[in-house]
Amino acid sequence: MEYFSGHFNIIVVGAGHAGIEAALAPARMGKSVLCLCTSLDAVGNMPCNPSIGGTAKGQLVREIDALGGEMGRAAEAACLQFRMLNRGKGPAVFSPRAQSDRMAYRAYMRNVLESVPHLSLRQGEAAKLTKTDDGKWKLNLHGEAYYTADAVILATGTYLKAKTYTGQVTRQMGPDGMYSADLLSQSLIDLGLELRRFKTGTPPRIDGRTVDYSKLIPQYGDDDEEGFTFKTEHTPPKNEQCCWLTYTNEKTHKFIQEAMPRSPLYNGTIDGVGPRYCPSIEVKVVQFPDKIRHQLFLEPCGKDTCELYLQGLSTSLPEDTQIEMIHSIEGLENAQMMRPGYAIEYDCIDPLCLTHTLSLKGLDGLFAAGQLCGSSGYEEAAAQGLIAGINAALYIDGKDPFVLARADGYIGTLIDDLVTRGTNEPYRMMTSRCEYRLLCRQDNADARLMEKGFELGLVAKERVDHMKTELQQVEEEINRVKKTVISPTSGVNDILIARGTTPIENGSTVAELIRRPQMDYASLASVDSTRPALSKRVQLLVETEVKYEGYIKRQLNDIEQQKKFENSPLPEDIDYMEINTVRIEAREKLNRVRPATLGQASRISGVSPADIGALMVYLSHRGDKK
Amino acid sequence: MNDIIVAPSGGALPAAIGIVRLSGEGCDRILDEIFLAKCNKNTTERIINKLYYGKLLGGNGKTVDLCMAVYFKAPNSYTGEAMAEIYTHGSAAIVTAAIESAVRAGARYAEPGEFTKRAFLNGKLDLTEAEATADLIHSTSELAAQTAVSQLSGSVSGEIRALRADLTALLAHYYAVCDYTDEDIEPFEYEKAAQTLRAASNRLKNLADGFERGNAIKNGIPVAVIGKPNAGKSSLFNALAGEDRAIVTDEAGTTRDVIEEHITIGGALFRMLDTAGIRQAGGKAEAMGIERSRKAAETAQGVICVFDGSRELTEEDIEAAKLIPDTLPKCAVINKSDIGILPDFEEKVKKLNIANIFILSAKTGDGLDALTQWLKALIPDAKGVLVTSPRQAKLMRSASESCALAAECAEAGLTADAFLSDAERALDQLGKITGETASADIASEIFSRFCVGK
Repeated sequence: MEYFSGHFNIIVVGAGHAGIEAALAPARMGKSVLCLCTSLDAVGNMPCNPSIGGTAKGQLVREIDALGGEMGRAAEAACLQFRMLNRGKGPAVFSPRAQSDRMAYRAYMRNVLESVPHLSLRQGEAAKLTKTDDGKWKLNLHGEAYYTADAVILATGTYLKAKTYTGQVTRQMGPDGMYSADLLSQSLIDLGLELRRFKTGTPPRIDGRTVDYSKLIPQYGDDDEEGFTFKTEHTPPKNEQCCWLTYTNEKTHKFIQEAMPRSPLYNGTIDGVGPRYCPSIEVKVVQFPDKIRHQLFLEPCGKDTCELYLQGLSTSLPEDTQIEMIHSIEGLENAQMMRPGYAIEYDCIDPLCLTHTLSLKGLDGLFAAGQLCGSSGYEEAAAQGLIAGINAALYIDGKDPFVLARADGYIGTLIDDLVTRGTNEPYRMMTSRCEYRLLCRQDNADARLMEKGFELGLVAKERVDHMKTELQQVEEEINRVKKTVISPTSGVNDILIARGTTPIENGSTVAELIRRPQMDYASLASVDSTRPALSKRVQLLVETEVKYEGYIKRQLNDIEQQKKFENSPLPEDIDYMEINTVRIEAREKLNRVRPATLGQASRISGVSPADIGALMVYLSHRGDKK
Repeated sequence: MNDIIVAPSGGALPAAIGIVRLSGEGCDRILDEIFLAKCNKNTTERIINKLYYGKLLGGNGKTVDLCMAVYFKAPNSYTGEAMAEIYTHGSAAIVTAAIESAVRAGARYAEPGEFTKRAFLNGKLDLTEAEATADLIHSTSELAAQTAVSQLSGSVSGEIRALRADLTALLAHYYAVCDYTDEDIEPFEYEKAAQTLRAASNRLKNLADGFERGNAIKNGIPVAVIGKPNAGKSSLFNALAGEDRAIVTDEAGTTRDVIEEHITIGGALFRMLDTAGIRQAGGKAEAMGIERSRKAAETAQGVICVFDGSRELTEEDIEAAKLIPDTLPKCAVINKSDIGILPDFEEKVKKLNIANIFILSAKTGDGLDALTQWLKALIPDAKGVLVTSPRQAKLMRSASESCALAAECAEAGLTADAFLSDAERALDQLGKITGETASADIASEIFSRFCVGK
């Protein structure tokens, strides 16, 4: 017998990385929120690699933090090791990453969820979602309780009808031994959604006490760790553990080859679509037979455990093969496996049915975020959760939606890619996907987004004020270095020669010298007498802004050019199929995505510039008729 | 849905055969009304893509011609729609009758280029191919047709795709190294990147330069012809064109400054720019005439000065000849050898600093061959000329500049995240040439080339 258990403004289904941000944002905006999780012990779980950030993902975390999300703070609280990846490859690709204590991370997140007003956490499996006659959503749990809400955010991760594979052992099971959520899928189908099967996987874990570290190469963290979160004071995250590098070898590959007939990936057992960027070791060995070894990183899972994650060895091969593989690797000859690797298959939706607010088209008040939307990764999930949470709150208040453009950075790019181009495999953020990457760097995420977060009520005033003070300092210092002339003294020329660049014969501004590829801001300190005392962060921002000024200006100009298209809304009643001048393939794509703007239309795969030209001609004629 | 269009598709009639083409869903029905196969089967009963013999029916149901017809099913046709083609005997009357029958049966006359437009809209041709087809249809000489054909076969598209592949691979390599820091991918070397970018820039520049030559092939090689009205320019044109003179006089501009004559020599089209101003004798007009001659010479790729060798050389002749830029190939024609050339005329012309002098008679054709040979030498080398569209040339030039800038910055040691943004810009420009969506899927390239993952 079902019973009414309460009404909330918003119900969030799931308390993974997407669900957490999706619940916190609207609660902080004053909405009553119910956050459901199949197991309260799995809140903020990291079932795959024990790290937050990394290339392009680190940029996402910085942006989430600037908008008032929680992920960056949690990653710092649970940090075991911090690194800025890609140093030396250019500021656009600098990416922060933290190895995380997964138990500490879960505890931190659980604590935050329990300390935010208006937010209720409850264990329960969402079973049935329907719209009531008065326009509310009704959510039945597996059991007898039901709730109603003004808006619902689905953040089901990899749990829907989840199935795991280890060799020939198949189980109806979610990640990390959690049970799968098997009931909600039918409800989504009844709402008119088409479900797809995606697949991902994870490597085995081993007991650190059984590893011969003398044979491994240590990988240390940064000496000057910066962290993820933009704070008023610099308090670097802890940096107390290291990772270890080793390699697979021909013997490992031989075991893999021999076990192929028992691989669910190759014997046809799995038909879900796996990500190309995250291939299992068996896929790597098959696709790149010439590579005689593959890198493996041993990553710590926490302070209070000796469990190690084997990055690079994701597999769904049988357990006995997994053990043979591990023992064939240098340093792991006697390693004891603690958990076997597995592949996992789950239901997800086609993100083309989403708008930029992550609401489902035609289903008012229903939002989706995270792996359910076809993405992969904790950071991608959290970014979507934050945007869905903010928009659900705005939707309830009848306010304008909050949409980040591609020009706003990685979050905007991630969501635009998903809802415009769709994806045929779990979507991972990459630096190459963000076209304005010199402008949208990890170091200026606060300058780009924090004010927006403040206006939404998600960022404290002190943080915004601090950010503005810093920005002011950056601007003043840029002006100063552009005006300050350094005379061609032996002092400056010694520095220039020492750095392998030509000495100056006439006076040169500090900015001109910083722009030389061999030079940086700090290197000129001794000859730049009027230089003010500035924090390291401000110094680096000045350096990047000065060094890359030409490129940054051009990207700003590109954005301005593109605005014409981004600001041209497409009428909602447009019948794409009747536009004869657009190629049929493109008409079908346009009809499917139903883009909001001409800019979005131009990014749909299969829609060519000529089609956009034809569409513009059609629109202008359409205007004439009316 | 598109309506059914019909048009003659062969060349000028009369000819050996006439071709009538139909396109649009339902054209099989029209074919059945105007064509009766000998086997008595209608289109749906016949094998598609197969040629059938039968009768072409006129308006009153009477047989107009015995002919062949073929039916293509969508999307396997030139336009991507259902299509039919009828091959008749090549008389204008028969082809006209066939088209009229088709129109009576419900088709409409096609607009110029409409078949190609439909082919493009149905994704049968990319932009370059569509442009080339339009060029082919409108090409006025054999050589232009050859260039258009090489473009149609995808040689521009092929070149551009190859260049795009090079740049995409370069970007994919850099981003693979950046996005997969935990994989042991071969390091990204700036020196190598600069080489790739330089090579791409040079290749693009060559392609764009070829446009100038290609343009001459497509639109005709402009040759300025300077000389007094009575020097015999008109008879010279007639003599050069021979019996086949097909293209009529074209008047450029309302002021009748320059009269343009089109002549085909050696398979190439020449645009003879006749500076008409000198026709009016005396006073001001002479000065104006000289100015016009100078202007015509500026746009030309060669200059012919025509003199009447039977009369004294005038100051006006000398002035006009002196104005020709030294950079242009030029020759002097001393005409009217049939009447008799004045003694020391050739000496005087030599003093004008014109190396090639042809003494000939336009009237009899004596000595004309040498001039023809000289003109043939002006024909640009069609080999390697791939680009005939100004739009494409402009995009290529811009892409070439972007690549050059990127190479320069790579050599200077700027970080790749910055200089590669110019390579991406070039990639966008190249995408616009072939009409492919400009955003290259660098990610795809990464996954296929590099072994990456967790």
